[in-house]
Amino acid sequence: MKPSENKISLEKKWQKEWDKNSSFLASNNLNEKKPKYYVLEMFPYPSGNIHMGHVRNYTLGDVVARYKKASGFNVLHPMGWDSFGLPAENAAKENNTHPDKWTNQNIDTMRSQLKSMGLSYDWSREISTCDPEYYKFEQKMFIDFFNNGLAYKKESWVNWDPVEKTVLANEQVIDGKGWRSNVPVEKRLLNQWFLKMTEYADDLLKTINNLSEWPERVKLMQNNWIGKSFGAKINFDIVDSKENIEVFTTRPDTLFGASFIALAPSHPISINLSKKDSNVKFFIDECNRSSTSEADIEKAEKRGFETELFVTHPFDSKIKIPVYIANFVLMEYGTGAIFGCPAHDQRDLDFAKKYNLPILPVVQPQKFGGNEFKISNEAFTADGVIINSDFLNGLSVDEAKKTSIKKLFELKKGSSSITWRLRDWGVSRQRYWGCPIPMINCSSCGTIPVPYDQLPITLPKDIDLNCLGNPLDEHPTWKTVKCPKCNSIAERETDTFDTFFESSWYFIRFTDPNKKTHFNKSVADYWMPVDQYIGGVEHAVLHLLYSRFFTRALKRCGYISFTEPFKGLMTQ
Amino acid sequence: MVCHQTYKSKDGKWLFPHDVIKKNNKFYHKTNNQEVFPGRIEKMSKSKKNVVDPLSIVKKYGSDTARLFMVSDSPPERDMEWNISGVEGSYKFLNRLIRIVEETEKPKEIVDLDNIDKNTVPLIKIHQTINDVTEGIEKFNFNVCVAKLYELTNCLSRLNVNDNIDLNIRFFGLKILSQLLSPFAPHHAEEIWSLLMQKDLVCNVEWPIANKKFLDSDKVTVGVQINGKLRSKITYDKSLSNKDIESLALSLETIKNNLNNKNPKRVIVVPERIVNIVI
Repeated sequence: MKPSENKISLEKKWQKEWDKNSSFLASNNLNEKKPKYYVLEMFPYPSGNIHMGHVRNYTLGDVVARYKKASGFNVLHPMGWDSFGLPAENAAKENNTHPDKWTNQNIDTMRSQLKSMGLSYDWSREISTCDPEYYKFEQKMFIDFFNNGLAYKKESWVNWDPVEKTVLANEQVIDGKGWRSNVPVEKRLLNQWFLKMTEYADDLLKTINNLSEWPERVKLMQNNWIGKSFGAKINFDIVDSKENIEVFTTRPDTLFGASFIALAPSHPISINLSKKDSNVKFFIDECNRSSTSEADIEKAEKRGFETELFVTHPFDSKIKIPVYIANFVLMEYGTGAIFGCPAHDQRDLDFAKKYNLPILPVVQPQKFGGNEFKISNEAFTADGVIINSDFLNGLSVDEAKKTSIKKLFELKKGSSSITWRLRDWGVSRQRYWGCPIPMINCSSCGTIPVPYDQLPITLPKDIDLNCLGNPLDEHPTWKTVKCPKCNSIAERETDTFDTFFESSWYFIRFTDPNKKTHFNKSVADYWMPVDQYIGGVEHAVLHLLYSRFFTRALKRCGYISFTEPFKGLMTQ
Repeated sequence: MVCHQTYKSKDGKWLFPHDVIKKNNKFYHKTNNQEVFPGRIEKMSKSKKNVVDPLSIVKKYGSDTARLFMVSDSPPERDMEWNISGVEGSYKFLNRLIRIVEETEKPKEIVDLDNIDKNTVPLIKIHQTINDVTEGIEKFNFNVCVAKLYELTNCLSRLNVNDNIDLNIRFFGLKILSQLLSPFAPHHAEEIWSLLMQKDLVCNVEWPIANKKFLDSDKVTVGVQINGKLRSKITYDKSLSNKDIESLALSLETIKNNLNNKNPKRVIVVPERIVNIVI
């Protein structure tokens, strides 16, 4: 016998023993004397084969799980499949098969691959998120979110992938291109479902400090992603008009250095101007052909369109400031309009140099000894003393911020304000292979949730994936239903959930996956939070933040009693 | 992240590692024999072809080898480089361990090891390893755990199977080793456990706890370096003076050979830490 055959039969022998003895079954007996320990590795997408990254991740988790079991814990160490998503749809198109078949074949292959590694999973708890027995629970959750004011529909700008024919999340846009199609994305306005993440912005931010077993860098990334900034909202009156432009700024101390106003391309005033002026329309259309991702906007060349509008300075009506439309201003952040102070912001400085706008320094270094402080190629962003600013002269940056806001308030031109970088989570996807959103649109009753007793809303099997647009929408009969209220003909929502929806609560499902009828709160409360979560650092922001939001939302809807999903986090 | 060396052909195309062979420090394509050029060590990615299929490794060496190598290279939060000589190192270790166990018969005359002198070096090593591996797992320093398991294996392999006390210690040490190895290479741990004729499965056995008696020894083991390079180790009584430690270190055969009759310029003794000989 060759040594390798020896090894394989040795390993098979012990895997059979573990199986025979049910060595790794977790006990759901809530009176269990042993303390509980829940160790979880981020579950895989069933792409077809396990790769080295999986092997490392699962090996790390298995060390912890086996050690904790030996140390006298009731260990929960489960495994499952994050099985909705685009690749299944693409593969199904290519191989002329069904996403369901492709996915389940991959799961079978990968399960046997994982089993050959002898990982100490409780396989009796295996879940697959494309199974209606799984997603029926999340359909109910969504309805409960809706009834609790945590889910709403709104028209919003989205990244549109012209090849995939779907909306992409900002994170799926890489260098202005679709992450899979690799073609430049466009912007479109679509009616979408959103989850109200922003309602928990403050809580999600404050409680980061309590995550003592998380890596510092992950906490910092979450902090930055939520991005709380303090500042002011300021109204600039438009010259020869009764209208004004509301601007958010974190630097009200630099107001005397303002040399331009920049509007987002989708700002109502920009849109209005575009109706009258085809050049404005052309510029806005061009902006809309690029991504809405902040990283891309940061990298893209700063471009502006000079409108004919001017505003007056709130502190000195003699000062007139020109209004631009600029590709780097986001409608979704702050008020969708900024004032540019080139001397103290690098982006504004680049813009001012490009369009020959004045650069007036209003803060100079504390120990400046020269005659006149000048800005050349680098904006001065540090603390210092206010200059060239009338009543603010001589103050520090912090003092000037307060004084400026106070004056704005007295003049009824503005007030202090807080802005968040975090936005609500758009969960609608125009794809087939996802969880159907359990809503009904009735022309007389409006948007109505599917009644609980009609759940799950399952996907139709007979589907033409090669049609253009959204396959569920194109299906001849699936979307036609009776309105649960008035009984007249209505239409189902034909979008499906972002697949991050499934992974935002799967860790709770593992606590009681065989209970088909209802969600067992006491069992979830027993096992949660996950004591040790292990996975790639690429999920440091989205997946972990969505999950933290989900536990808060589920708690509010009465599903669970805990707040944080993951006590310990290990990122590799 | 798991990383691997990248390779490119002369015309700039990426190559799979399994298509590359090394001859006299140069790299060649396996089939057409053309020279290829090694590039940076990068995260395994399909586009750069620097991927190794984990299943081919499992098939050839078994999954315990793959698992052990995965954690032995670097701490989990850092990137690791996948290299085949490291894999073979893990494979050889597991095979050697099985051989050592097979050479260790169950002692006919049982000695109560708890009543043995607390300065018995291999027992100190066993109990110290229990502590080190436990702490290593708690702190996610799995690479340190593996290094400690290697050290314990070496220590136990040197014990004389024909001496009853030594055999008792060796047998006990291997039992502990099987338990400490079980989170990292669980199949081999079970195999060793059963070869040592222990009941139940090792995965069901309670984690060992170090006997404090052996952690509080009068003796200490430190490395002996020559110009900063580790050459040997000495174990000595903590009460020894620096002068005595110095002469003990200089009397070691390996050190004498390395010094080659030259007189050292200086000998630095850091008590209970290190001896460094400067030549």
